[in-house]
Amino acid sequence: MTEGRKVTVSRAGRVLDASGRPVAGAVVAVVSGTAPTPEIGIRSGADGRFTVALPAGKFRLQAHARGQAGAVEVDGGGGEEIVIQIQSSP
Amino acid sequence: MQLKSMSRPVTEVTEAAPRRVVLTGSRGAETGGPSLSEKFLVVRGKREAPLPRRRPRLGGLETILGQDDRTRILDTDQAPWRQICALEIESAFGTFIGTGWFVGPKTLITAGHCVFDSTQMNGWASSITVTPGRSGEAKPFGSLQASRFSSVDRWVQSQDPDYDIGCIHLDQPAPDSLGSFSVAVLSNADLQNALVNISGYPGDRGDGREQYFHANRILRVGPRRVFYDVDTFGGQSGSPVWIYEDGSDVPVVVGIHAYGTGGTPADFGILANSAPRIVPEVLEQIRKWMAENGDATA
Repeated sequence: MTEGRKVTVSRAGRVLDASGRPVAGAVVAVVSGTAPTPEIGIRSGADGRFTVALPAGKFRLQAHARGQAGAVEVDGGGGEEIVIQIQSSP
Repeated sequence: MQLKSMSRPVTEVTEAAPRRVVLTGSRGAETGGPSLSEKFLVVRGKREAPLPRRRPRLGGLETILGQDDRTRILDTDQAPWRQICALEIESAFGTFIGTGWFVGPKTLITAGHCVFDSTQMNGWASSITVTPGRSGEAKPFGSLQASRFSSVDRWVQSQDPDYDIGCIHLDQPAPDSLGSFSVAVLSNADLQNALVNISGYPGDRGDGREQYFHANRILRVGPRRVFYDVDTFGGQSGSPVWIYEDGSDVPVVVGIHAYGTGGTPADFGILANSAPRIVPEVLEQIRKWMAENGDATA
């Protein structure tokens, strides 16, 4: 037997640029975590918004768009809006 | 007061697939020999130690296992790369990217969560744009629209990662020249330490429009999953996990990539990404989907 997928909760999020403007078409993905999450890529909408399904646990999300990237650590399950700010790599 | 004993959980590995069964694919149109990417990048055989990293390993609990060693595939108009497709997935909860691969002209296999996810998508995908061998803005075989999808009951009803497999049914066949992957049920012994190849469309490089490849070995074999130290990223869900058998140039899929490190049981004590394994009932389901689409199931 392997670990089953836990009950997931849909969380809202937004991708913003360094100036705080919404980023459309960014790809958001869970890159690590303490529970299974599918390796699908989530595209942010025209207003930079996205939803991500997370079980209970701790997760790291990354967003990428046009050579810029950002990351955030979040707790799974319900909670406040996730904000990922992206910027050019140094 | 009585105490109740509790023990460290141990994941059992049992032999689920002792028989070797194969669904035979096709390389498609000949293009004058193997692609340069296939010639120089793919791995074959078995190895007890990991393949050497081209750059220093940094460590970390991410789906990029240490330093990122993925390589972009440029000759995506050749086999087997052209049999791998970028997916743009539309659903009630927005747009997603994933990867699929041909087993027949009208049948693509992908992860179950690329076609159905009760939480992430609010159910079934509404439509998927399939682009074989996409390379940036180049679409050497055009794009196909799909609106018919299938998975299996254990995924749809309980979202069990062991059963995270899906199918995209095409109304119009892809060109025969594309070819298709072979699929095989292999034993635990055959899979353990086998060198596997994974290629797909990640979101961190090329925005899900460029194909990236990496290879390494299977670290652990479970009854329904295989676990490997191959670098992947979100968007590569549904990618083929393939091997080459001794003396053969035929790519043979043994798993469907679906999970990063969070999907690996803690008691394995390894850092690995994972795929639902091709077991007899998965192969049989793929045959049924192909027959439903009128594809040959040799």
